Amino acid sequence: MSKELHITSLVVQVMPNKMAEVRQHIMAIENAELSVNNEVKLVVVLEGNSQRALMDGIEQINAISGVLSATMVYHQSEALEEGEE
Amino acid sequence: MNMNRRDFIKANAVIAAAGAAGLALPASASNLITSSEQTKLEWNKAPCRFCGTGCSVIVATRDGKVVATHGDANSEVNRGLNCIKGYFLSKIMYGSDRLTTPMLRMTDGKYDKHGEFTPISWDSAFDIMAQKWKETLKAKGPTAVGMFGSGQWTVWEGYAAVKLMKAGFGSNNIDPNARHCMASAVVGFMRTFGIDEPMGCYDDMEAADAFVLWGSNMAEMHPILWTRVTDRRLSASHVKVAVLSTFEHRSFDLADLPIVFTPQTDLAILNFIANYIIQNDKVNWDFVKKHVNFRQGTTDIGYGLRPTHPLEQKAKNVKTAGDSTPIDFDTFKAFVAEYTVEKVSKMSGVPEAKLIELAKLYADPNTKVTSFWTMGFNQHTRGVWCNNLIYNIHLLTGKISTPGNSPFSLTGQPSACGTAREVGTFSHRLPADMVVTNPEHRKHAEEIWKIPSGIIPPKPGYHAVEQNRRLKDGDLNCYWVQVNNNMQAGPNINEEGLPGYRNPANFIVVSDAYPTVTTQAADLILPTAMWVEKEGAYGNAERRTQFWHQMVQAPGESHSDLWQLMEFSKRFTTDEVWPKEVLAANPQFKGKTLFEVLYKNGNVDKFPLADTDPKYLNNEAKHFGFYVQKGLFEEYATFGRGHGHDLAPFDAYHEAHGLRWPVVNGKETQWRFREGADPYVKPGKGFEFYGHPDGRAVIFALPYEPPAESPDEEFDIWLSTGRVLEHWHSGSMTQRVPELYRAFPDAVCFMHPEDAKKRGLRRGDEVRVVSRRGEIKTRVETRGRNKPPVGLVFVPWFDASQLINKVTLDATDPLSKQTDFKKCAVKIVKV
Repeated sequence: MSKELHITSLVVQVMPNKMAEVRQHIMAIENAELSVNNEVKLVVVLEGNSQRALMDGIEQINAISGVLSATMVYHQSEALEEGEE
Repeated sequence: MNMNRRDFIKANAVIAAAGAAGLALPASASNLITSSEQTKLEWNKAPCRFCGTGCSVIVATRDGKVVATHGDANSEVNRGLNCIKGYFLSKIMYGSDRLTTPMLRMTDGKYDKHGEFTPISWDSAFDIMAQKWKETLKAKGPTAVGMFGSGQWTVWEGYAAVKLMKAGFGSNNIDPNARHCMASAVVGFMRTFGIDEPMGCYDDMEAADAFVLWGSNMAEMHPILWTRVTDRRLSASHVKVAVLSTFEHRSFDLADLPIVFTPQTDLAILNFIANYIIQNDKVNWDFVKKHVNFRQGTTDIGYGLRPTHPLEQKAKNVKTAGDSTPIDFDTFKAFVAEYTVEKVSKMSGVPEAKLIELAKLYADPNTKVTSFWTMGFNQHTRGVWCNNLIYNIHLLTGKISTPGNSPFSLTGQPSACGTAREVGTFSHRLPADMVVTNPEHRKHAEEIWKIPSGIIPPKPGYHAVEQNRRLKDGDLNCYWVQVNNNMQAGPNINEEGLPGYRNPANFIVVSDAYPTVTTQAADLILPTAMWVEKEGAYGNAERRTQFWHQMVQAPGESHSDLWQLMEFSKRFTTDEVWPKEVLAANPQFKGKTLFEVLYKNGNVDKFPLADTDPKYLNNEAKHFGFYVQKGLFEEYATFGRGHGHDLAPFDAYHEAHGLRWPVVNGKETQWRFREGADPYVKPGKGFEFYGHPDGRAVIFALPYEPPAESPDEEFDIWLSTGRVLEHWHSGSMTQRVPELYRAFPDAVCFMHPEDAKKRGLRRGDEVRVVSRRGEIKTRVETRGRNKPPVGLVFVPWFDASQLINKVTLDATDPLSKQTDFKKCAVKIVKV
């Protein structure tokens, strides 16, 4: 059976005094990966096997205290072939 | 999966996000930018289908289907970002219940108002429509036919509709749903400046030192603009954000100055700020002396209810509501003097210190202030006054038309500005701010349209709320609704809307892509192509006009609104609709179809099919045999060129990522009314408000007046309605995107925990929200993103299974005829 791979990237705006905490929270989210950042923004990549998994991740990030906005930029989904994971 | 594939997608995702955020790329990603992975997809630009921000998105099609969208990195509006609704745009056209064939209520093969919806052909659909329209026109004349359109019409659809109604049927009974959302802003602009739409633009956000949100919850309703405000606030530490609302919401997260005020007292707060500026000698005299007049407006103007309503009978100046008389500065000063901090603090419930801090933002000559508002001001029985009063403050201090100094009226629909306002699809309007009541304007329009003089009626038609009342009363009998869901969006639908649509004397046609409560209330449903299923143009809140190409085919027998309007016009000849004396004086028009006189008039059919871009679909051009969209646009543009509304040549918009009008000599205009920025300001003037003949803007003396309905012993709590981030308006598109539906499936009643406790309620309890007009069932939410104060509840209106507009009051601003959806009195009862 074919599985799906979903990848999305977000720009997250953060209160500067909460940046360290927010980064720690995001690192604790299973399918989230931190990428580049400055003192008020960071880029997060989410990966999952359904759109729903990504939505849950976005919701989790939005709920972190100090997060002012989490905006999706890029999304791609692919059907995985046999043997791929 | 090998490294390349997953890593490649991730790298692309990071590159796009880093680019949008203005962050440096990680080195590991930079060598992966080009790849054949992307070549399977065809990418094209289009403005987003939803709100008035006007984000540009890049749309990917594969095998005739839209498969992906992402923010347009080359767009000056959203710079590669998308909100959650824009992010799921690719899914809005593919709900499983798309309408694909015309459907008529029938019994035993015949039209029957009480029959079941039965599929019919387009031919039969237009047959029954034409029959009903002709019978009605013959029996009762053009005032008995009407149309309700939308700020989601494309520019040429709205324009074609205005022509069909005003120049074809000779009826001014055409109004857009933008009446519910922007009418107060329009009348505010016309009264203060004599010309519609904001003078500033989104670039103000990167230049402002302070932002003041008047009722607006940008974090949820204009999220992409909010990211720009947030960027500015976080990157410049001196920047302050003030957020005013009748309840706490997500935008308060960023607020340096959070203010919750009692409903309707915004009028008093606005006057207090003007008073503070004067009392503290912060008036910009140089600006005021050169560029401003003072006037006193008529008061006690009623609440736009039916004339028989006690409130209307009690009001003294209903008939002269829009009048005003000139006054001098001292009279204005004396007028606002009663709005002291003590008095206004008591009225509004806002602490004095906060009011003063707010007033100081405006009063300090070194602070550049951008004010934002949307429905909080506009959906208000004194909405025009609110708009006038905010301009008062910006004019007194000269904080206008310069980068960062910007009173900015935001928009709710993608083309409320471009179509509803600029094309003039209102019952009193013609293109480019002209009005039907002015004989010169009618003459000018009839000349451009190449129709005989005397066709456009001089009397304004029925506005949105009046249309529902007249349907109920049986004065309006043939009614066509396009691109909106007014049975969910309109006020007081229990007493006015539904009885009007189901009145046996009426025939109701609704064009839509999906079934809605409005199509359910109709007699004939027409399946409609949407968004990139047709070539289109929208105009956003900063005067930016944006085009897109048709990229895919609509399902089944769906056709665009434009096709429907033009095809229907073929069913009528001038002899059937135009006054006999006009035809007698202009015999060359006799026997012609409305299609011939409106759309084959030498203007609209000027550009051949060969002018269309062969790379793209264009069903309408192919069907009618000429480049319909270009012909309509170019004829429409002649109204505004040379008159301060200049649009660029048609083809320029397919190239550019939007241009802000006036576009003069190929150059767009960011700030109007200021010398050097606006080509219409004469040299040496500095500023010129050329909408008024003397080049001056108007400061209006207007008081606080109470709302139409306030809580009392029985109906003891305020109700405000509004939107949520995940859903756009009535949810007819966003509720069909599974991810958005799941994120916020059902409306709830947001209320303060103390109010819940007082009524023996707990979070999640089922309750009835009851007004004098109707009720709904919903559930209590005491936590979550909206936190009303004691004494107010907030219920969003996107949910068709909880029609909160059964509860609302159809009180309107007497000047703009826009409904106040933000204030009425209800009680909350446990089920």
